[in-house]
Amino acid sequence: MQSPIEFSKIWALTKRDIYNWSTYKSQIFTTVATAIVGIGAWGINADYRNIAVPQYNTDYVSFLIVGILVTNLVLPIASGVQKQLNPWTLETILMTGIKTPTFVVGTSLWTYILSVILFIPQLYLGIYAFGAHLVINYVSLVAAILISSLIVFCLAMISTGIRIVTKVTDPVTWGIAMAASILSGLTYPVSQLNNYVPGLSTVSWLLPQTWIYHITRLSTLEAGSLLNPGIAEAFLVTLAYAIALVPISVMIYRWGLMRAKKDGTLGWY
Amino acid sequence: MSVPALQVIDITKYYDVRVRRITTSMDFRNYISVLRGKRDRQMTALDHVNFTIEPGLVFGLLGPNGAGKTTLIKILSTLVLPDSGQALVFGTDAVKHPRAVLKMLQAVLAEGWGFERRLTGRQNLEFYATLYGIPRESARKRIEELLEFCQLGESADVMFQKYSTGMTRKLLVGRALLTDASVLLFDEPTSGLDPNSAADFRGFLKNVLVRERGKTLIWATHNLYEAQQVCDTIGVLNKGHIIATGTPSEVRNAIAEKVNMTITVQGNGVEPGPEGFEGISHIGGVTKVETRKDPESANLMLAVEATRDVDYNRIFETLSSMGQKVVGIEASQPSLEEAFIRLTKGDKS
Ligand SMILES: Nc1ncnc2c1ncn2[C@@H]1O[C@H](COP(=O)(O)OP(=O)(O)OP(=O)(O)O)[C@@H](O)[C@H]1O
Ligand SMILES: [Mg+2]
Repeated sequence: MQSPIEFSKIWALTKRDIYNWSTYKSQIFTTVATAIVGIGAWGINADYRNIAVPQYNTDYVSFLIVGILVTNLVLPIASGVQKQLNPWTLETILMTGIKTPTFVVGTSLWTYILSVILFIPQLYLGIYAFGAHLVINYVSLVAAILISSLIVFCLAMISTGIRIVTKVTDPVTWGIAMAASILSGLTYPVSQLNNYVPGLSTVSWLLPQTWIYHITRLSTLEAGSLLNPGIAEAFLVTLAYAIALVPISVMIYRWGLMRAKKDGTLGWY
Repeated sequence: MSVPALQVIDITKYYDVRVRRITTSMDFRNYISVLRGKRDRQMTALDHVNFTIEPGLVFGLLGPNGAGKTTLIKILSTLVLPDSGQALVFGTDAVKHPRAVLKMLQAVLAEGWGFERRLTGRQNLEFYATLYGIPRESARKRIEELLEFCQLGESADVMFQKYSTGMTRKLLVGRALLTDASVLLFDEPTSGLDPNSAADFRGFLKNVLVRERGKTLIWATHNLYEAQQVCDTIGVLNKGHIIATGTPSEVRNAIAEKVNMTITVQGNGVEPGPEGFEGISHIGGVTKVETRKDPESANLMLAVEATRDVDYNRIFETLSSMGQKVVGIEASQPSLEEAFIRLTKGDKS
């Protein structure tokens, strides 16, 4: 992906997706509306029972709003691959000899950009309508975004690899999303889980999503600095997670492609 | 000796007979078996297929439905992996070095065209040119050339979803030519075209791509007429076996056991005896004799069907011993079509 040619390939795939997306006017509307309504509903919910969240030295509205923003920013990626992975064009695109990372990044980039764009009105809404109180360390935030993106693209690659084989559904992504929705601490600090099942929060920390929420909150709620050893540790662990995911996800993608080529089902849907 | 454009060596491909599909996310049992790639019953789609194609020729892959043509094309295009055997494109192994092979070989598949419906023909080509890694400026020039070359100039800026089948075919050729690959595979290139368009398209592929530009073509078809018209060499594929290869006439001869002759004898000559031309049917190799009168000249016409090794002299000797005067003779080989039907219907092996 070093060369500009690879970037222009990614951009070509992204442009295609933007074009397809933008030709459906109703789709633009529903995407935006879903995002706004989503944050609205959660915000009201949080406002209703606004308590302190000492873990991040903040209040519940701020805690939840950041969680929702991350969810809307990060989690659509995996499903984005699912939407964009089109069996009608898969064979012909693979015949161009495109490289794996280029293909996966290109296929999921638009969904990612879209969620970044939607992030802005959501953030605005969170701060002004619900009084979310953000104390941001921008260096940490950029680091958090970069590390999270790497994790998410790895998850996207895993999802692509499995989906090329299973076609209609991808229970792995579905399963991870299910687990994440209860364990990763979107709406509560994960330590809360221990009140129900002792030690459950340990399981949470096995999920990459938990780390993504954690480092983003550290950098946006209490202006966590990377110079602070405790905070730096959280970032390093997340980074290690991301780096470990890279070879695994490449392997799963390659395996999926090979399996589909063996079965002769690459162009099936 | 030069390297062959393509060598298919002992390629075998099995498919699972029971195709597993996952229908819901809760379908865990099926899910696991799909991921494991469990095959409980297999069918042989290709069985030790071998052939070689020299550069600059059209090779016809002729076979009925389900013969394995598409499977073979996809193996060569690196979209399907064979269970055993090798496909070498100018000496490079398609399984081991798919990217290198895709630089030399491109395919036009029968389905899954891969065009974006909401983009124009030109935009579609631009999209693919980028994915092929062609720099923007040279891509623009090349696309302009190709649109002209494929006679798409006028519809270049029309949305793809408005394209007719004929236009789609041309755009497909345009895309296959983007990288100037020297081996092109076509899977049923004329299906869906009306007879005139099909003839034009065949002429274009053969005269322009092959004769002028020196491309090597593989042409999968079930259409005998087409194979006979355009192919320099034909491989007849049936149930995964190559059952004959050679030029169209060699294929025909190799399998044509029968010859049909029409012998005309003078009508006002000696009347044949009560048993007519019965004598001829006793000659070794003759399998059938039929007589009818030519209404215009009152000549007699004998339709003789015989095996290829029939002794022609005996036929004429017999006729002349009966006092008949032969005034015309016509022999026709069975058509490739007959040969094809006979080959693919009979229990080959
Ligand atoms: N992915 C697959 N899984 C299982 N069986 C398959 C698969 N693809 C093809 N087959 C089977 O393999 C055989 C060969 O199919 P193939 O598509 O190669 O034939 P073909 O010569 O192209 O036929 P047609 O003229 O109908 O296009 C057929 O019996 C087909 O049903
Ligand atoms: Mg076919």
